[in-house]
Amino acid sequence: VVARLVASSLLFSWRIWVSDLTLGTVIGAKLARPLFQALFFVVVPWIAGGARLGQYALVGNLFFAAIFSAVVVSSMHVQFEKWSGTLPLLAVTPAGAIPQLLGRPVITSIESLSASVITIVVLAPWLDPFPGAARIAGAIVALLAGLASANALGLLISASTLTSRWGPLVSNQLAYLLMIGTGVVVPTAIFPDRIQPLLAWLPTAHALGAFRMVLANGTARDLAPALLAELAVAALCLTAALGAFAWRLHRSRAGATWTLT
Amino acid sequence: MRRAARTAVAAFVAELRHRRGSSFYITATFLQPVIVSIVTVGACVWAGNREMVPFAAVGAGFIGIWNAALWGSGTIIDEERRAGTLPLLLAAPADLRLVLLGKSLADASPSVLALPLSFATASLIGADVAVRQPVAFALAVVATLLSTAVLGVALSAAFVLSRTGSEYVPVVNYPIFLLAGLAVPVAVLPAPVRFLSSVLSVRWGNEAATSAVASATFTAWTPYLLMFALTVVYTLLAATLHEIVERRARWEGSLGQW
Repeated sequence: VVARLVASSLLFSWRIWVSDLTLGTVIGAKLARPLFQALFFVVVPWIAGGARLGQYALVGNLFFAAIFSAVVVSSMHVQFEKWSGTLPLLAVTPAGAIPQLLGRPVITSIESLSASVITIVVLAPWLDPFPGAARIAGAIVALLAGLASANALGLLISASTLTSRWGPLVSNQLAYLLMIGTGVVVPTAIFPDRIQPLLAWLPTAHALGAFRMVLANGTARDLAPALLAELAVAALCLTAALGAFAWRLHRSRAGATWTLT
Repeated sequence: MRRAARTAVAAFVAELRHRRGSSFYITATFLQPVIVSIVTVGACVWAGNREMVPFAAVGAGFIGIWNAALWGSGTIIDEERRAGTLPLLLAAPADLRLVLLGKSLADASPSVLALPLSFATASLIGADVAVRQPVAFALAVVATLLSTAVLGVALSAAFVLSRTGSEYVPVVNYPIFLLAGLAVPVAVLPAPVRFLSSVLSVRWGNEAATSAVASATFTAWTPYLLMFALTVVYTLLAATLHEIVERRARWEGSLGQW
């Protein structure tokens, strides 16, 4: 039953995604925006800080192109239900909300990865030195761990902002803050020492560290602690998201307030 | 003339009231300059490139102004269309261009705060920025604001006919930040595209304001004169484009469809 619910919510999510596609939105928005954003955040540090900072930002943006999209879009699925008036129906349906929620981010991840692939194809040739196949495989593993956290964070934002209209705003701005706080473009060393421990445990921070490490000669053994830490952060975010969602569900059923938002 | 001013002012006030309740607009206007400033100024600080800090901090602020004007031009038309008021605005005796100018100015005006926000952020990451010529700086900011608002009106003509036009605004933003020399000096751009940056008044505003921050003596009127000339061109462009678009929209009578 759970597998069927996950599959049906995945299919639903897929249908919404496909219905949104036109040649214009694919080329002009879904593909071009992440690429232009990544190019901007590579070119600026490259010119302001030289080739070393440029390479640093290049690696960071190869990773973050997918993460940004995942945080924003995964937080939007519940918003779309809310806007189309179907969330109260989902809430009262006998089927569990949790497996339905789990199915939705799959499509998001596919979209994030496709945006990331295009960005990688354009930006990766500038990597110096260009990594071999084994390092690329390791980098993909780190990226997947980061995507797990990003999707969990998106769901957490979605659940936390369920009774307000702030979801899209919060996810968008938090994604930018994540870019700054995890040191995608500029090393976090520019920030005060007292906030460094907080920055180190932000979602996707460990995965980004692993991504950088594997591209800079790190071994699989070096990656393991960072990836485990990232998966722990992802699990924490997901647990918090599901808890918040269940609590909101309970409160909203009691007060019948979802249709007001 | 008085009637025209009254129309623009009424639209300005209505739009300000509307935006006051928009959490997205408020956060985007005031948080984005902080983020961009951390990236541009932070890159200079990290690399020890201190002489580029004034350029980076001013550029981050001007990105905020450009963002607000361009974003506004897209969303004003979209929101009117969604609310069903666009055909009414077009059919009203008051000139739609004046309404859009008032609204565009209202969207762009609060973005002036992007500059002090950018300077404050720079200061927090260890790079103090001081304005050495306050009058020249204020003149550059006000001129840029007016010019980008008029350009926003010109661009909004495209959004009257296209329902998806505003989706492309965030996409073209990043190339324009680079092209206009807001994030990197125009001198590093390839020669063929430098001409394109010359037709963006925000480039000249940024140059004038950076000069007012970096130098204690007034050096040139050229950026101000170029901004004035470009604003005249944008005004003519906005008037012509809207006339063409409005004539077509009235002829087709399809603005009310969504």
